[in-house]
Amino acid sequence: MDLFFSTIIRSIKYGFQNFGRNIFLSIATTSIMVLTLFGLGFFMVINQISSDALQGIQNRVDISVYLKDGLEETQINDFVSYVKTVEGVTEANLITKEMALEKFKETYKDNPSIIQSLQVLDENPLPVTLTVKAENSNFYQSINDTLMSSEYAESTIQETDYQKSTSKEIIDRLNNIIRVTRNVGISVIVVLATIAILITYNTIRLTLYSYRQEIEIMRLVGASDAQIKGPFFVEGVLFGVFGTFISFLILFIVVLLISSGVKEFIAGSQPLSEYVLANAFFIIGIQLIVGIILGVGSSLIAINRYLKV
Amino acid sequence: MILFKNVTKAYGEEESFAIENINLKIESGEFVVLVGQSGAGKSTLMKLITGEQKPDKGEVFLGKTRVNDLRYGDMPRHRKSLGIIFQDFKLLPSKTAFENIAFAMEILGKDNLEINRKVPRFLNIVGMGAKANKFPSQMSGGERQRIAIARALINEPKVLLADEPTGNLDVFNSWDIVNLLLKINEQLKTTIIFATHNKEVVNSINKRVISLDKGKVIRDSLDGKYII
Repeated sequence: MDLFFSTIIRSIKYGFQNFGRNIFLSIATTSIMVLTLFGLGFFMVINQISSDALQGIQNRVDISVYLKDGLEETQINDFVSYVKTVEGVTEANLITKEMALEKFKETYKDNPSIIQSLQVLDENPLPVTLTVKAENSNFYQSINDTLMSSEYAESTIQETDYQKSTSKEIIDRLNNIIRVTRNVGISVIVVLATIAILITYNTIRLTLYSYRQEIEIMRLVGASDAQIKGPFFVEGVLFGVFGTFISFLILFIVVLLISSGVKEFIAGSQPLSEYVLANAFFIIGIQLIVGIILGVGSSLIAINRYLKV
Repeated sequence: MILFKNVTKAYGEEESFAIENINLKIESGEFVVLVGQSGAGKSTLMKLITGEQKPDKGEVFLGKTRVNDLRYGDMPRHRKSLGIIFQDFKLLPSKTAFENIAFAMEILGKDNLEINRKVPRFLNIVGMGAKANKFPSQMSGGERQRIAIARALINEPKVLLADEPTGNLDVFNSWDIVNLLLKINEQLKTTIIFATHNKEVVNSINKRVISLDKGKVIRDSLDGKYII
């Protein structure tokens, strides 16, 4: 039999055999791997949900551009067409004076004094309004600046609510929250991933410490590096594969348990369990890649220490 | 043939010589006994042949191979040409007797058909046919050493290095192993280098005896006497 293929086939056979015959060590190592990959999966879910929630808030933010009274319909349409060409604008919806009045009445229907004071006036005092939505909240400043420096600033625009300090403050605060959340999320993931990788590496190193004599014997009997490393490579893959599937199962159970609570806590977010199911292949894929790299990498680094005979 | 030419090997910074200026020639098919107290240099001599240690001075040859020149990547091929038996057996604990012996064939890329044909034969040669599926932890010291001998012989090496193979065995098992080595030397014409402390065994087998003391050969005689 060709030495190359027989080495591969026997490595697979002995990888499974070692995993089974040293079942307690295998369980211990796989458990650590499960914890690491569960942490990774859980953070992926939480990160996605918090992004969804922030995106939901972002979607509700807009700026209102109040137009001057007495504009011709063509002037208004020209302006709307212009706004839609401004960088970052995704939506521009026109609210006519009548629609604005209806909305006003709806908003203050429980406050008759305000409604009565409106009836005293001869004409509808509310301006034609254009609500503008951006790709994300970072664009509002530039959209506002572009509009206020355009030819329409004098002829068409009465004012924008972005110029009012409260709107600007809310959008700035939202931008800050998004930036801080992302930075903190990335930092936490990096720190936790580093800790998890070190723990997993050390666990596998300790597991292989029990194999050091075996590795020395193989070497003395004349086994090549590939013949020695092969089974451990396969074992590393097994740690990653078992770790992935067990951790995903636990992740799904945990998510089912906390899903309704999170839904109440973060209004408007997608239910966690739905997210996990919809992205199962993605989450398992990432866990599998990380698990196998971690399992195989740790195994091979650890073995190299015992191959010096 | 094994040849040592002016070989010196020292350990540590204090330059204590494990082997000092040794010249030896061991012909093919010989049975040579190495004697000497602990630290005399017996194991170092063996390790210089296996390539585990490199000489500081001089040359070591195994056949036409100059062991000094072997690099890390050459070691598997070099060691496949040797059979090695250790005092502590060095069996793979997670493999059965059969698998331990088969492993030595697998690393040469032998197919399963040949392995299944040859391993039982060698298990029978060392009298362990009935224990093929036992793990090392389920065997006595003597049984483990027999499996180690079968593993060392399975690829039919020209040279068998036995580093105190009876060191961990009782008198009965020690004689058993020695007789097995003599039989192998006689029937397979395998060159055997047998390091031992056992005076009684040495005096009884009547083979060439090389006595070592503090890393030097102090006696090399065919009279079969244990003298150090």
